[in-house]
Amino acid sequence: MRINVRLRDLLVQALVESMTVDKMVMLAQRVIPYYNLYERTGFPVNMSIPNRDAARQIIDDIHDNRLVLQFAGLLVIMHTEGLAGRRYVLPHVREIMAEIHGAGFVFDWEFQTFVEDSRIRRTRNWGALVEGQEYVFSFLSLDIVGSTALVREYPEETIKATYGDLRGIVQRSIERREGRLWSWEGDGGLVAFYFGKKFNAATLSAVDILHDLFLYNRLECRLKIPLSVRLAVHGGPCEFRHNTEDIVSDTINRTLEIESEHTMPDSIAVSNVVYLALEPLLQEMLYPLSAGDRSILHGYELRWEE
Amino acid sequence: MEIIVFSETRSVLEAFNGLSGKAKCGVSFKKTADLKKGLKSIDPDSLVYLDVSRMDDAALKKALRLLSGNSGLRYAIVDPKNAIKDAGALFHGGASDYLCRETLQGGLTEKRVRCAAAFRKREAPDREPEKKEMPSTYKPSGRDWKEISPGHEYTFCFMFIELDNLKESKKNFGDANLRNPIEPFLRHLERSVNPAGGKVWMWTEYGAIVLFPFDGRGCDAVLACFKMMLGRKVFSIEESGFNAMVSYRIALHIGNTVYRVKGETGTLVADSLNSIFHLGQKFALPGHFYLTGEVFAFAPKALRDFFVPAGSYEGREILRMRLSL
Repeated sequence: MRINVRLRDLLVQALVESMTVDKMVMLAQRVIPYYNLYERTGFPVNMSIPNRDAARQIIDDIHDNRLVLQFAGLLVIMHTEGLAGRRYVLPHVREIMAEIHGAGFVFDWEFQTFVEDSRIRRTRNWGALVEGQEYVFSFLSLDIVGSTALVREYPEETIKATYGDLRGIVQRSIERREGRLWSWEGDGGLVAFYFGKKFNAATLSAVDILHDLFLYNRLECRLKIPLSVRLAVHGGPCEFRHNTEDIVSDTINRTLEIESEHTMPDSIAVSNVVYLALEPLLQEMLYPLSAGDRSILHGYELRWEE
Repeated sequence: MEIIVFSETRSVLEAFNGLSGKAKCGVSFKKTADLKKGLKSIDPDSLVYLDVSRMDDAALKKALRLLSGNSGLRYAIVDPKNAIKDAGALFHGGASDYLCRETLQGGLTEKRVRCAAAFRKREAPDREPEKKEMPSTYKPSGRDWKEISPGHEYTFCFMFIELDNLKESKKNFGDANLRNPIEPFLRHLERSVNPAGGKVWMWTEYGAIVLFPFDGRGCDAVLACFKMMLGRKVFSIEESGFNAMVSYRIALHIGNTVYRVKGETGTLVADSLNSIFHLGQKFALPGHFYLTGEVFAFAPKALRDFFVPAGSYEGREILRMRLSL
């Protein structure tokens, strides 16, 4: 997020008017580990740093490290709930929140951080995740069955339009649930979920996609045969990178493996890790799958009464 | 629909920022230099606005070639310096809109963007329209609500919907507490029927009668109700607040009634209205979706094999949707 002069001044004022330099450094160290204010300002260690200089330096460094949202979030929590068992009254918190809101971010009280307002913008890190840090995600992998054969059989325009429609279905379903499309290769993609009930969201998105695709195949599909997909849902830790294609993660690899090796066409496979975190009603919709490698998986497909 | 603006010009960003606060569609911003890269990962339902104020002739031609060569993509040109002499040519090339300096200064409205999006709709597959015979008593109300005025008789598609197992729900939640779980259901209903032109006409205690305009050619209500049945489990888990599977029954019928605005229907007497109430309250089983033969004749062909005969009621042939398990 780009910081404007007003927000910078408000953050500096909030620090200057409410805490000592030691407290400011303690706060800065919460978002920048081992932060050394003396080293940053060039003041000798036996001199005390004036409040305003300290606050300005800290806010500049926070900005340079792209941690403004995290730091502002910390101030909001400090003001509303206190920090380390102590309550603080910070001035300008409402103005800081309003300024950040104006830039397209809202405060997520559950995760206690600012995240992007998805009505205004959608980025791969929800405007909140930090490069190189590890988070627990839920992943949804989707692949078109028999894509190579389809590409050979149909004109490029038909394939492009059909795959575009599928992408539209995926996009609509995941964006309702705050999912982010991390990659789309033309014949499939990977979606990440982080905020809210992420395991429910990923599984429900997959179910929704399967339902919408069923209607699409019945009513709109340009191909002679129904477009068929495989969907897999898995979750776990993964280090975040802004360039999501650079991410190397066992969790993502496992998601792709479940999708390619254990998922039948037109169905969803859900890993046991995700299954155990689902709401009971959603668990009831899934049936046990037998995977060859002894891992426990759960499946879903659209079945009709005879 | 997502609006993607490729621009670095302040006035353009401000104009679209103003829009993002009002419009229901998302607006995201990208640099013009990222146009080629940005188009690769674009949602097909998006509308792209390209600011050409920092482009020379060669760059502009290249950008227009890139946009028009992307089949199915809807795009518009933003020209804050009024540099383009022949704006009409842009439309021949496939553009959906052209925003000049004056338009930007006047403020961008949601209506403008919607018109631009509708100007070039996405390609739909060619389908041969099905010819259907319409009974002579029908007085089609049209494709939408534009021609419908109170006090006149029209043919509508009537939808009855009601939550099932109310006694059990009252026992579980208490009469007073039942209001809260019902609210999401009513919102879900409105959200589901609105795209097909449906309007809630009467609220019953735990459901509603919805009217869909009927044009004598097709019945979009069938698809809307089909989707509601297909998505009932997802709704129950995600939105209902019941913490239990929500069960509702739906019935559809086509017939005539004098149209009166919502709230002024108390003294209305219509055979069709009686029929739909009887069908929904006395015949329909919990958790099922029924059509009368009149509706089935206008149901989408591709969905007809999902309906099975369910007998007859009050002299009408009734069909029931097979349930998804």
